[in-house]
Amino acid sequence: MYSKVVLNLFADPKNTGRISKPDGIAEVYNNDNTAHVEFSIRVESGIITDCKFRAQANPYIVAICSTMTTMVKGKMVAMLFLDPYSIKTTLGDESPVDIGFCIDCIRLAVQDYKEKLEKSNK
Amino acid sequence: MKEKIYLDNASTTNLSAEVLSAMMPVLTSTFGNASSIHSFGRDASVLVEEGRAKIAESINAKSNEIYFTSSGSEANSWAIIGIANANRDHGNHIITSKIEHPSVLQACKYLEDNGFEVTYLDVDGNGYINFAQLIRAIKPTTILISIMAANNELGTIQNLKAIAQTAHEKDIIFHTDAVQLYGNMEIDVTDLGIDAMTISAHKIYGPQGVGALYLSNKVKIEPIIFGGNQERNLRGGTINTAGIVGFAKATEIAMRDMKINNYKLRSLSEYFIAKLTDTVENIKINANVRQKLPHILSVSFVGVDGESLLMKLDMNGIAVSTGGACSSNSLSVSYIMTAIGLKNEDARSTVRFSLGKNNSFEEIDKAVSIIKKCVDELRAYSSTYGMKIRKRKGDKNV
Repeated sequence: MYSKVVLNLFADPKNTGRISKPDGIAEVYNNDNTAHVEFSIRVESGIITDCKFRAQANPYIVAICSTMTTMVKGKMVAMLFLDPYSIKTTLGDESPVDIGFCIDCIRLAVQDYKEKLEKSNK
Repeated sequence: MKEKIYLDNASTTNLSAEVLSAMMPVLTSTFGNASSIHSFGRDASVLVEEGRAKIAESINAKSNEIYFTSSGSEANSWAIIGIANANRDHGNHIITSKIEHPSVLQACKYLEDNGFEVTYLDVDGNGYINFAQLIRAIKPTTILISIMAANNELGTIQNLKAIAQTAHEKDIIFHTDAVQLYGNMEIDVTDLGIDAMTISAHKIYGPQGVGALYLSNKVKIEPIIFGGNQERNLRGGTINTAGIVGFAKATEIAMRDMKINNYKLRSLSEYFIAKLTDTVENIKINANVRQKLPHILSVSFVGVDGESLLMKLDMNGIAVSTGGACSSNSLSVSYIMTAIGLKNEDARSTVRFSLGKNNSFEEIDKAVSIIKKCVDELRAYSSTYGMKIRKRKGDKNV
């Protein structure tokens, strides 16, 4: 069963879609290929100013992604730290579902941004 | 309040008013324990035996071949474990399929842990077992074949007569889980050669909490529930008289209305498929074959998570199921969908619609338009939808 917070977020997920010409983007399947997520970010002066997600996943993961997009906004890419426990706690849901792949996806989007930045600096 | 549409009749059906009327006097007046020897008990016992006779007649069995249980799951577990244990001196090998109900599969697993050997047959893309594999799987030690009559997620109906013949040629007992088939199609256990069969009341507009095992008098079984001399000393526990009366009434109605219900369900189902296919693009109807229960429809929606679609439909007043993945809030995949060869990501996109005799064409119209809206909303932020469509078109540059 899903918590009310999860269901509310699933009913009205925040920051869905893909940022046009994103500074960083990544997509990841979970280990069993039973869920897929994509995060795109906009970075200005080293700070994530926008983050959007797309997903083919269950309501819990949709709620997690929605929460994560809100959490990372305003964070410096150099200082980005995402703790699965605190994200899960925010949702008030004791789901055993592993959300590691969602965190990996954001990290990969940041990595993508860093690689692009490095290329453009060369 | 929004009017709800129930499209999950393979999970359970509503209790019919006729059945409730039959049960009410039992719940209020004839409440005696059917095992008691006083008049209250004797009155209840008469009702139980009438119910037993009615259910036996519906499958062309003898009254003393019907054993009441608390559920289909209990009857399945009992059939598998009870028959295996009672016939262990003849062998320790059991054959079943990969798409059985968990109550069969987990009973088999329990037996494996207790010295039995189990072969799990593959099924094809529509859920039919492979006869060549069945014949190859039979060993001198095989004592039991258990294959479900109709699958709960696909609706596929197996060739029971052929399986029974194959079993009997080698003196093997044949059990079938007919929970989904019973009441929807005539089942003559004598003609088909079924030795043991599981049925349940709540799938046929009867009460929840009562099932039955048909067991041929030729078949030996050991009890798995002890503590009483009920059900000819084979199944302990106070007899659920009201439930049995309801079960018998539901059976009577199902047999009486079978033709008209079948016609209605087939028409509704064909209408639903046509309307859904026209309205929602990029869907796949699984096991879209003739030899199946018409009211069970398994549909894969490209780029959509089945559980998300289930929840979205629920928020819009429509009840459906994702089949075997009945534990929500997980990322598991239906083993039945995996068994028919779907990849995990496609199996996760699957939803089961199961229609019932109370559904109307108007409800189907309404449901399809809500399904379209929900699928569109989920696809609008699906991370795989565009990708999958490009893959389907085979054009990497799209």
